[in-house]
Amino acid sequence: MQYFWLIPVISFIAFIITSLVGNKILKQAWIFPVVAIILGLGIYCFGLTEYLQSRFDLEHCVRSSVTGMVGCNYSVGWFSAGVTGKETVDSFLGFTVDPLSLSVAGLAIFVALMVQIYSIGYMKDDPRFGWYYSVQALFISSMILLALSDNFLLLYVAWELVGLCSYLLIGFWYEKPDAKEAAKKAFTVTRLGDVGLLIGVLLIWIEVGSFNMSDLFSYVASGQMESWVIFSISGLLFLGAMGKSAQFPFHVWLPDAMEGPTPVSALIHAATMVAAGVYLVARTYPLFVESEAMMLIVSIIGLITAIGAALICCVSIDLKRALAYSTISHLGLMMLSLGAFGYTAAILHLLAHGFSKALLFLGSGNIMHSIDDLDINRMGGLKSVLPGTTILFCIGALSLAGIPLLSGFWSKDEVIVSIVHNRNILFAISSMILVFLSGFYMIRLIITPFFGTQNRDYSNAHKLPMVMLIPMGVLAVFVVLFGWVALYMPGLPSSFGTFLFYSHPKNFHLEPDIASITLVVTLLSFGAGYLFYVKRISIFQTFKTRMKFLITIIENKYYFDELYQILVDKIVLPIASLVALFDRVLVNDIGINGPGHITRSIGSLIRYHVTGRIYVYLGLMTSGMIILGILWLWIVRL
Amino acid sequence: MIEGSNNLLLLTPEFVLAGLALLVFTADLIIPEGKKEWVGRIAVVGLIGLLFVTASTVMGITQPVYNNFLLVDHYSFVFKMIFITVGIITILMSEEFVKTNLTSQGEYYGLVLLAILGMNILVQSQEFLTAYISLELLSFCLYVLVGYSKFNPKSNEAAIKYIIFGTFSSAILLYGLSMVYSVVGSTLYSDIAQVLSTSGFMDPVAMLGITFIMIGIAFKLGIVPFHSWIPDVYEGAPIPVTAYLAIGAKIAAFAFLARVVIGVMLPAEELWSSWKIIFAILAISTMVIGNGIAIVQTKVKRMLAYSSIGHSGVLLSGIVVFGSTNGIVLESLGYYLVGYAVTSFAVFSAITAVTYNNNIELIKDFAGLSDEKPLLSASIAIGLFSLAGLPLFVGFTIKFYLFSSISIGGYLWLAGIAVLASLVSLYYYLIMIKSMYVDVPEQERAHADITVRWPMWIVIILSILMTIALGIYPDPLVNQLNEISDLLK
Repeated sequence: MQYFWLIPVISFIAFIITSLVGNKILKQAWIFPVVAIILGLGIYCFGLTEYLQSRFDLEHCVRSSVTGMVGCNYSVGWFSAGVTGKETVDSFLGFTVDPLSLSVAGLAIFVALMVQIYSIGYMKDDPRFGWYYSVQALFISSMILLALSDNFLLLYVAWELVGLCSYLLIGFWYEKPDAKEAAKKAFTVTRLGDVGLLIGVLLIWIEVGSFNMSDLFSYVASGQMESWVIFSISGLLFLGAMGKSAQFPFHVWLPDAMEGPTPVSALIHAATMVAAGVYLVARTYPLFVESEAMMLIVSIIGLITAIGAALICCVSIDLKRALAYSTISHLGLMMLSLGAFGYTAAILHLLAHGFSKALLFLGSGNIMHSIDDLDINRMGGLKSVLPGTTILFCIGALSLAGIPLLSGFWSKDEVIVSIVHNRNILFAISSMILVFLSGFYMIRLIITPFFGTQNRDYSNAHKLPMVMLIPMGVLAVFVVLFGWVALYMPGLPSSFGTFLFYSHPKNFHLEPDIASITLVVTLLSFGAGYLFYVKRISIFQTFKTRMKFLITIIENKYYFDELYQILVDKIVLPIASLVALFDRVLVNDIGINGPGHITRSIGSLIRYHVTGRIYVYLGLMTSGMIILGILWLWIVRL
Repeated sequence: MIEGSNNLLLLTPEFVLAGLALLVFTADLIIPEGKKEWVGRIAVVGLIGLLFVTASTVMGITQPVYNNFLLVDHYSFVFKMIFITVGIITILMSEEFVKTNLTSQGEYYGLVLLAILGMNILVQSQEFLTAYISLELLSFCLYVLVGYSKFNPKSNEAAIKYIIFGTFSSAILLYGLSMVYSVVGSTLYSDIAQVLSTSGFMDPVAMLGITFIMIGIAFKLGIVPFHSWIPDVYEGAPIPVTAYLAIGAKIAAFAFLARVVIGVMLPAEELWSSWKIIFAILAISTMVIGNGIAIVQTKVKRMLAYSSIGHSGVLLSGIVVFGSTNGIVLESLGYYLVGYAVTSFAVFSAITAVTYNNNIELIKDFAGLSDEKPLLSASIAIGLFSLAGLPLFVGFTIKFYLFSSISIGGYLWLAGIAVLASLVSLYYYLIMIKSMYVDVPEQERAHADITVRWPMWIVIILSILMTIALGIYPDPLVNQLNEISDLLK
């Protein structure tokens, strides 16, 4: 485990090499990033085994009194400034290996490997193949850094780096105006949240005097922090998490981010980076649980996001955007679970969702690759053209819909259990609605493109290379089998709940009543989807016409984009132009250029003493000596 | 092994260095014309060996030698390592320049080595006459090196000016020393400090002597108002020598000044309380005038000369807080010097590579460089950004450390002025960067004839990497430097 720092470093080296030589070896540019990530996976596997086997014996590993989990900390001094006391900034470059970071880093490494192999086939004809892979390497390097870092300063750096990579990859095809706009939107919207995170981190520094996470947690646990401070710090951190994880009202950037290449959507905008917000909340959970109000806010925001996005997903006609809304909905579910004290459930769902959604996105990539279209209504009958993709896509979709024995079932069940137990009946009912909706849209996404009536000619569809199908197959195996860690984890006495938990381990147990209700609701949603999309029975059509008004609102994404546009146009831009005027006239012309001109003219004036003549210089120096002597005498006389 | 204060084994690095210099001069006689770069390569290999010799013989030892005339301690060890490294880099970056521009190529390298010897003895001397002699050894080598471009009138003019000002300052230093000796009867720092802290504080002769000694050192450092020689000499000297002056000689003079201040002035509290005001005034005038005049320069070398004056001012403001803080400021100063050296080498080596076989000297001649030689211009740009103190580069971290120690020492306003001076410096560095990256060149492919050989690449790439690495991960080096701060405790 002490070599975990090598994982981001190797990928970063791959990034540098690929940036330098990527264009020369265009078709082979994938080599360095893929080799780097394989090495990273190797290091990770060794570390994971070591952790599971000997975490109680290692020197660096201690059981945290706050979370109860065993964390291994490795750090070296980074910089320190100032002398002893409050002024000292002692900062460490450190990483922490605990179940949480192991889970998120493992997900990132694994999905990244699959996506990078997939991209060899998917991106092979792109003229910027080299650039694609160098940004991929940078992304994975910073994502692992984000998962491993043990202090907020490093975390913030990694946080911004993944944001940068996301920006670069959304705007990868920057010739397309849509992609350019989407990249800009994603960057700006997440920045809004990041400002909150930055202020939160600075507040932590002011309060605790350290950027180190464990210092913060023990400070909070000691009860020295006032409740309103806890509330505001956790609120600010949550603001950052909301931006990254596309929570309401920051959700608007994620659907547009689908303008990027599909493998990027699978890796960054489904499995890993967008989960960083959930990870941040989980990471700073000791802070959140101290504030009852904040936990409620987290749940409410999560619930609003989950239901709102699920509704849009039901009407979206673009396959990738529909998947993006489904991602937002599931991220909301994770937040809801965190807010309802379902720590283990949220992280388990993060992992299960990461595998499943990456599989789904790669499936949509396959469709894109072969028929070059993403409009669900123009598809239909794809099962005959893309049989392999159909099976893989169905596995992913059914997992997320919560069909038993697939991984999504276990995690979703845990989430529902924690909501039912820790929040009131309204939340429970809403979560059932959510289960219904997610089953409904998933069955829609399966039926319409793959099994619906074929209404176009697929004869010139591209064949899919094996290099694209094999990674998906591996992902599918994970989707099928991963959920079983909820019951039993190899290398552990018991299940995932005794591996990753907050304050005390708990074993997973299927609660038959809740599980059966969930299952019934899911099956109901499937039935509704079947009637709606296959049978197309008339009552639903009337329903559709009756509800025309509501559906229009949902189809227009509740007019959030328009609302933000109006806000920007009517409020932000006028204020910005005022600020710009102020900046131009007062700051630039008077503030900057004014002293600049003065300095420059003084500079030109005093340069005349530099004549190049020795006697002038010597005279100057001698007079300088005399002045110094007089000055000194005067000081002493004082 | 000889016990006690005359353990000559502690001077092994100096003996080896002197032997190496002689070996290089001898090698120059044997190696035929046209292969003279091998003289330099022998010197480089020898210096790399010397790094290990130094580390294995004097690391961690604190012991006086020659009846307290010299003191081998961690402070001198750190600076010796710095000087030897500076020597290696200077020789590597000189190779191509020397081959194309200079006659008598072999001696060039020998003189660089002898200058290092001077610096090494200078930092460990505990007595003014030893210090003076080693300072003269250093200066004489530099006089010759500055005038090494024999057929270039500018180089000759620079050498003459350097000699005149050098002797002028040496004379002042010696004059001051004789006055102090007449009162104290000894030239050891510790003896002088003892007299000054008890009876001698108000003795006018001793005071005048100390003032003259300080002025002599200020001359060597180029502190305003004793800076006028710097731009002319830096401009006329061959550019690797300019780098050597601006980096090696400056660090040596500064290490000497810090040692004198710590050894002679700090123990005499009353004396120091008046002198630190003078240092503050000198520091401010140096920062203001150096950075102010740099703005209007049109020649690269003169711009860099004024910028180096500005950096002397920043360093001097670190000296002001000696005695007000514990050792932290000395640690910061050491870090500043290393960071300044690394960064300056990134700039100077790339500029040497651009200019060694043509007569580019104006800032505007660098227009278009970024298109033709991206790595060279990136090196210059990174170096200049770092000198200006932008984050990510070592220039930021060194300034952060130094300014925070100054403000902790109670001189927040001085740190504020230093920050403003850095702000001004960003302006003229940006002019240079703008010229390389934005401005349209007057003629197409103006830099096509630049060729860079591997020794230069090593220097350029190493200094860029170090500029970035030390900027984002300072702790290992700072820990190394931590021990020199013991001097101030």
